[in-house]
Amino acid sequence: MTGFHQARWAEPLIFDLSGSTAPYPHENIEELTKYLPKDIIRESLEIPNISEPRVAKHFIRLSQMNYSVDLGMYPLGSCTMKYNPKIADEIINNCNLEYIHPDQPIETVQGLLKVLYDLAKYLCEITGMEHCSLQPAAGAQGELTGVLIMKKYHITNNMDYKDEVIIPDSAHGTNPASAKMAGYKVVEVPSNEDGKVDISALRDAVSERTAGLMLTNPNTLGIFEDRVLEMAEIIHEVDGLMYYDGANLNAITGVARPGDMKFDIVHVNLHKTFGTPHGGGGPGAGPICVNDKLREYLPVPIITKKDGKYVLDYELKHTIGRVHSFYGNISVLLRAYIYIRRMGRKGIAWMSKIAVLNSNYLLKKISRFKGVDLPFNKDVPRKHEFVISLQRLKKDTGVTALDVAKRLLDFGVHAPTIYFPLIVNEAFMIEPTESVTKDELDYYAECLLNVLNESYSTPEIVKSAPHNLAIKRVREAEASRPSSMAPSYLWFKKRSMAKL
Amino acid sequence: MEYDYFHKYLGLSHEDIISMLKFLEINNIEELFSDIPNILKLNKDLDLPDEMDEKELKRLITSILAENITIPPNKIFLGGGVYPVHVPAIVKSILGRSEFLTSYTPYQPEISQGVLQALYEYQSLISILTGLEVVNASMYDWGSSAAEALLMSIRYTRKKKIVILGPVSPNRLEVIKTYIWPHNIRLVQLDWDKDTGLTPIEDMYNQVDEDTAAIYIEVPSYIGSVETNIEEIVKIAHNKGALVIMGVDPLFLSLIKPPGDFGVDIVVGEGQVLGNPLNYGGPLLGIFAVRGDMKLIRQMPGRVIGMANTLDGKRCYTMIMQTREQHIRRENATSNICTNEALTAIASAIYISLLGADGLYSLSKSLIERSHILAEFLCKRGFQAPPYTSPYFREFIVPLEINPAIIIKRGLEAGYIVGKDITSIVKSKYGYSLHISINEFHREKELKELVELLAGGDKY
Repeated sequence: MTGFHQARWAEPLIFDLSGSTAPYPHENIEELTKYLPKDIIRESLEIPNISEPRVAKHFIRLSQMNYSVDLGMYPLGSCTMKYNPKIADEIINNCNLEYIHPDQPIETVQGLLKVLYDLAKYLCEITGMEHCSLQPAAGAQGELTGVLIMKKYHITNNMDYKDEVIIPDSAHGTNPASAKMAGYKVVEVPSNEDGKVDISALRDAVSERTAGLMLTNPNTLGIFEDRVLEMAEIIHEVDGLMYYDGANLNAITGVARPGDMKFDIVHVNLHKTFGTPHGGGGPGAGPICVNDKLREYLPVPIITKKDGKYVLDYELKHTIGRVHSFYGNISVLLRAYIYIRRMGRKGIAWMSKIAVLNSNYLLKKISRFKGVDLPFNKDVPRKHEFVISLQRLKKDTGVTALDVAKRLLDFGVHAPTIYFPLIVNEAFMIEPTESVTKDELDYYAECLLNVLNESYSTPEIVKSAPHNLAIKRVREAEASRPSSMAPSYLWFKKRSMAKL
Repeated sequence: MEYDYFHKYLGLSHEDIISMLKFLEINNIEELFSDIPNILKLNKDLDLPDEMDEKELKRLITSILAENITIPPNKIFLGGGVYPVHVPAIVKSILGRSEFLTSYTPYQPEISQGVLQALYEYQSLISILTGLEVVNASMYDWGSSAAEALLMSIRYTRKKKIVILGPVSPNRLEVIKTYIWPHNIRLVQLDWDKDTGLTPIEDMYNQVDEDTAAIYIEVPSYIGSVETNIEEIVKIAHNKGALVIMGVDPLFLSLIKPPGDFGVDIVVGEGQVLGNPLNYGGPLLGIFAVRGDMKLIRQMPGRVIGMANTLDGKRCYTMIMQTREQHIRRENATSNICTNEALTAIASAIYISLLGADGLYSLSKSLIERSHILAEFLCKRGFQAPPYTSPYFREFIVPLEINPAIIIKRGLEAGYIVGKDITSIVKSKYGYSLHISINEFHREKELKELVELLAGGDKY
């Protein structure tokens, strides 16, 4: 194994860097009294004045203590950590977007609107839907937009008694949270022994009150819900709507489309499937696509074409309203457009094929390892991701999925998503994506095998991991305890002073 | 050959694919999709354009975007929450680091200290500006921050009425309405006084009652007026058990006392102005800050980074209080937010660190000075700028005798965007009105040109 070591800088907080902390602006208050009443003028601002070179060093040092897609394999399940093309960085930084104000007259932004209009068209084609709003700023906001459309649709069509949304137990946490934000009661349906939605349980759960079903396909186990048309029939029979969570779209682009599976509403995570960078947690973009009967419910404005000119259309009869202050995360949208044009028709289809091949290859290697089990149907191929259980390892050695994840980090690879989905004990959810090489897949398997072997031979090494990173293992629980937590420097200082 | 297709973004060679298929004991990749019923398979090509190489792609984007009309920031007088900003070179350079740009949410803190500490610094800097002890790691924008703050006040107080003071940005108000719509909340929007530009205090006494969950006020307001009596508003609200939610321009906070000092419970706002490009309105940065009261904090939406210790006793940073969030609490989470605007928050942390207290102060001071110079120029030419008596910071409205659309068109012909027509919002009070914002690129020259454009002098 390699001798990977992460950079280890003892870099203080910006507040503790030496700089001139000017006692600003006591002496300046007078000059502001021309404009503001004296009693509201600020007397001090405790932000240090630091030189530019020191600020540069500070943040570059911090960056060296952060793993990223450009450093190695980052196989977080359901997160699709694929390559983020550099050409998108270059174009974004050089295309004069910087000073375009969202209230500018539309005749000054015709080029930009054309890009957005075409992107919406591409997303409709890829998902098999008919209309698209680019406004939601992230997947979860797309979900909220989608379930609000669901609600408005039923109310408009005199079905306001519909107050339940059905969600499988393997779903992402955002699904039930979004449904709740739209005022719905969440009804959970269990998975069957094959790791798919239990159809008879679904039938039992459905009633006149059902507003819709939120489904990820393939689901979070990486298993394709092959009875999705039957589910759609069950839901549509009671006038419910089918919602497609696009988190796992990278498994099927160019192979199958949510629209053909009879979904009515689809959200797409551009920061997953379409290669826009995650930025340490955002910004993303979560466009929402719908079929024709739901067009009038989309957030306003939508971009349309009128007499050869691109316009912002606010005249949607049943619109749920705005979800974003303006039109969405424009530079992220532009990056996704660049990605789609760079990949092209063929590339978009091949990325899913390769993602699925990589996933199954790694699964076959890993599932033979001691301590590892593959829950649910072993004979059905997984899609872009798969979930294994380390329950057996835990029973044999006391080493948990968390321990294994921490130890993996020591080898210069990122851990998978752990303890999710909730229906698998000691879950390890792995999504390699199409961007990695065969060598990287082999190396990942080798790292995991090594950690599993250590778990049997020298478990203390695994349980005390990581060892090669900027810091040792974090005491997580203590950091959230009200008596010891410090969510900001201001809080920390106030508490330290109270102690003195 | 079936697998001779190759794209530079895919990790496998032809030989890799063949050897992996062999390992999997299958003949082709399609077998891995054999569980998808045939009826669901597309079985044809997507109707998408052909692949392009980098050269073609650059040429394409350049030619499409050439259809934009580029207007330099010194000739743009738009604002209303988002503004043309000079993004310092160092901010761009650091954000280009792929360690920040291409990393995920820091779920494994040991390998993500960089993002965690930078976000912790963002939270801490906003905490100092707002005077509130807890700040989350960002929301999507001011609109969703305000909406989630109102929902939070409903959960906290278990009451169902919200009182909104004075003029609020119509876009933000729409986002608020979209978010609260399913929850049977009574939204009362109080009118403002034509002369002061502010909601009269006595109206608040009348409308804020025992059923009120929160008061929402923007400082400065959408028309630019600044409420200076925050203390009394807080008193009115707290006496009835309601929370005070204040929407802010964070730059203005470098000039006025921190809202936390007045007892404000939640501060929301737009962080774009702290070192982020406009990008036609996104990504933005929703600021969300809360008073350091555990009961309140437990109702907060979004990720929060906290200080922590390692097993060997060293200081570090990690995500805290995750039991509020959707990935743990599911339908009982305080919000559905997952992906946020982390990178724009990091940009703001770098920006504030670079400017420091002195830089923030002198920038804000120059904005307030220049907006007053512009108002003076306008008044000299017979305009009522602004038409109210309250203080203002960097923007205000100007009543006009003719339809603002005419002036906007005239401005555009001269290469200017003179402001925003907000007649529909203020018509009953000021008639035709233009909303004008100052930014850091404006020099005296542009201010004078703007005045001429509005006055329709000889030149125009």
